[in-house]
Amino acid sequence: MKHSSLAVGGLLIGLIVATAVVGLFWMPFDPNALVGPRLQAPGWPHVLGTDAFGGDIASRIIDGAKRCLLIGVVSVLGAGVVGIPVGVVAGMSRSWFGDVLARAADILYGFPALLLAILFAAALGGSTWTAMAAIAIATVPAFVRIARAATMQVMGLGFVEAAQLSGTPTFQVALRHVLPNIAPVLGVQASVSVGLAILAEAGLSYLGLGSGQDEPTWGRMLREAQDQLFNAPLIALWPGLAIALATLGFNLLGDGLRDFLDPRLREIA
Amino acid sequence: MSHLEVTDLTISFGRRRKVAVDHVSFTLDKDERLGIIGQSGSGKSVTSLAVIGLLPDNAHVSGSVRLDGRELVGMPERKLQDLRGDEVSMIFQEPMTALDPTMKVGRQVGEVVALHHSERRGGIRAEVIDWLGRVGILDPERIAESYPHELSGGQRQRALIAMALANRPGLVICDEPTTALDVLVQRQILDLLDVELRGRAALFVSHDLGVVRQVCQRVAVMLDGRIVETGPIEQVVAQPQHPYTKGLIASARIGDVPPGQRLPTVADFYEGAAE
Amino acid sequence: MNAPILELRGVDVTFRRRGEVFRALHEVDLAIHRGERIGIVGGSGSGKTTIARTLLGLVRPSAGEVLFRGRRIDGLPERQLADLRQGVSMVFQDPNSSLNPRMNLRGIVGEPLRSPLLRARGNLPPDTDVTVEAVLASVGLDAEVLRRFPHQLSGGQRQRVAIARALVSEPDVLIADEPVSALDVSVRAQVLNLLSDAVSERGLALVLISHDLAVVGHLCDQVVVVERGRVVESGPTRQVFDDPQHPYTHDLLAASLPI
Repeated sequence: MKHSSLAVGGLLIGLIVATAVVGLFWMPFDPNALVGPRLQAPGWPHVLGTDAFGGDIASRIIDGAKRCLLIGVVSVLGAGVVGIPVGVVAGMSRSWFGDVLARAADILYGFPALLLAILFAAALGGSTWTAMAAIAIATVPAFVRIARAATMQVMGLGFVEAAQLSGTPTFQVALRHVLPNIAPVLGVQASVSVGLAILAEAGLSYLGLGSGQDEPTWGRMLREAQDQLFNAPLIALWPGLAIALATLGFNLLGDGLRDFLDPRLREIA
Repeated sequence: MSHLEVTDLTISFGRRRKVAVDHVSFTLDKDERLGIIGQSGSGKSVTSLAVIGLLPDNAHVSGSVRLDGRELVGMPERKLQDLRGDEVSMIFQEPMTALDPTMKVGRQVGEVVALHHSERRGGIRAEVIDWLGRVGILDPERIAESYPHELSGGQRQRALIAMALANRPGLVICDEPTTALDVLVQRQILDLLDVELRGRAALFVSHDLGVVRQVCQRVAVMLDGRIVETGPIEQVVAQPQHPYTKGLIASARIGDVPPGQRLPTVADFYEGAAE
Repeated sequence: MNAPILELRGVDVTFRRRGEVFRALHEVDLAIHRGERIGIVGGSGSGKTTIARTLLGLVRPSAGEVLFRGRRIDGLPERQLADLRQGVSMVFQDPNSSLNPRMNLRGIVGEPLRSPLLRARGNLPPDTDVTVEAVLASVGLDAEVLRRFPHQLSGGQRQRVAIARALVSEPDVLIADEPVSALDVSVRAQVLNLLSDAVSERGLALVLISHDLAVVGHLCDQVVVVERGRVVESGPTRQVFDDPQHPYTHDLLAASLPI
């Protein structure tokens, strides 16, 4: 089936977004309250059961959806706001400056987000914000790279030179000619990056470097579930599944977008 | 029986069945060259793709294309692959996209031979050098060891021609082979094709009647998927029957119009041709 | 006064390609006068496009001078080239890549009118729909195409849009680099007629670059033949074509395919 990646990815993301939106207004129980017997199996009223402390898992999953999306989107947005302009400048630059920027991004690329997160956690205490900051910084180089590559491709096309010959200032060229034409590629990157950000956050939370006790994220739920792995393995399944589906969804969306845009662009040409 | 017989070929695309080729029929003998002239969207390229079996999946084909007695419409892909490069080959417009940029030129030419005649693996290199020289490439050994981006446009097109002819196919299809080349190189390539296409059937697709005239004896004029005029090329040029053909010829005679005077356009002769 | 409006004097241009030095132009002299139509012919790699880019200040000569209205413009930074940018416009060869696929025609054709650099000179037409509609009408395109995008037009129409964009700033010189080579033969006559009319009506100078001698023969009164970066022959078109002196000119003429 054509565009299957796009469809499945869109569906998964839609599901998660819908869950998060619902969570803004209603959750079956207070996610942070101890509302039932501990380690209860899935049933009624706790559809996914309860965790080791007596919290309702379903509510914590829904709450986690909000947080994961927030973290994913905000860190990628932050990375984009910094990375894209740097990439575009590097791509439009005709001197050594562009190369310097690119190399700087490459160096940052080699720096693992984990290390940054540990540094931040050590200095400022682990929280949602430090996790977001670490992930955002770690994602900047990906945007710089792809923005630069796409910009350089666009710069080779006649209409950019035509704009320069029309007396258009460089900033306007970047805004009206480069950005709209690299936007599709950036969109694909953004989608994939959100998937990676969610995964990164899960990892950070699992290690205790992310959100605190009162801010349940799926990664944190995994950490809590680890202690009960032999008694109640099901508790680990729900957050694990959520993380997997979210990451899969964003990756598929990114892949699907890229495939969707490619032949269309060729068709237009 | 002709070498190539196209009968009532109709090709449409997609769910909305946009008709690209509308009941087209023509024949080609073993030693004959037919030029197919038309503007973008006339269906000429789609027709040539049908003859080599390279239509996209969303194409609906009806009618018949018989190559040396074999029916190509509906032929399974594996059988078509056996034919391609061996009994029918194609020379494309853009040599840069038709050549693999990561593979040396000599190897690409040799690959075509090896694919269809694996029994000759031993002597292929010599044959490749021989062909490259034959298509007019100076210093064929060096070119064989070079990558496509190191060659000029003319050299690349010559390499493509070598690839297309290496297995001595009975039918060669040329789709705008000189459109991307400048006028000097174009002349050389056309002279080369005139020589090398001898003894083969050839289909030459172009929007340029002057180019086709260098190589082909007969011409078919396509408009909106249909052949509107056909015949020996000199006769069609001297006495065009269809208004569209008249328009094509008149608008191509740019040098004949005194400077400052308005050039005749196709629209002066034929209203229906969308720009 | 018959001083040239755009001029190359003894221009050399060298490029560095993969460490090797490549001389694209050798001591090129070229003088374009008001209202004159000059054709620059040669094969690919002959340097004719480099000539155009040097005239436009996109390429810096390694020797010699480039003058516009008597003033030297070679080596000047972009912000000092306002006169040149308004006075000299270019039509590119490939109608597919010379128009921004994500901008509508109003935006594309009106772009020169938005330039602060050109605005500062004071005699630019206003950036209004009316201005753009007028110039599009002069290339035979209806006002309704204003909101359309390049991919919705045919190749010939796109080239007309490119010509409109070149004319909107009311230049004095139009440089057309192979303006019809990428178009079907059946469409060329229309676009050439348009180009010719636009240039006559506005009294522009035309620099036409082409490898197709028939096109140059029809549109230009002067021709310059370029081979490997050198001017090998020049003069009135009819004279050069009827009685070519240089072997390269011979070759170019012999390669033409008349119908």
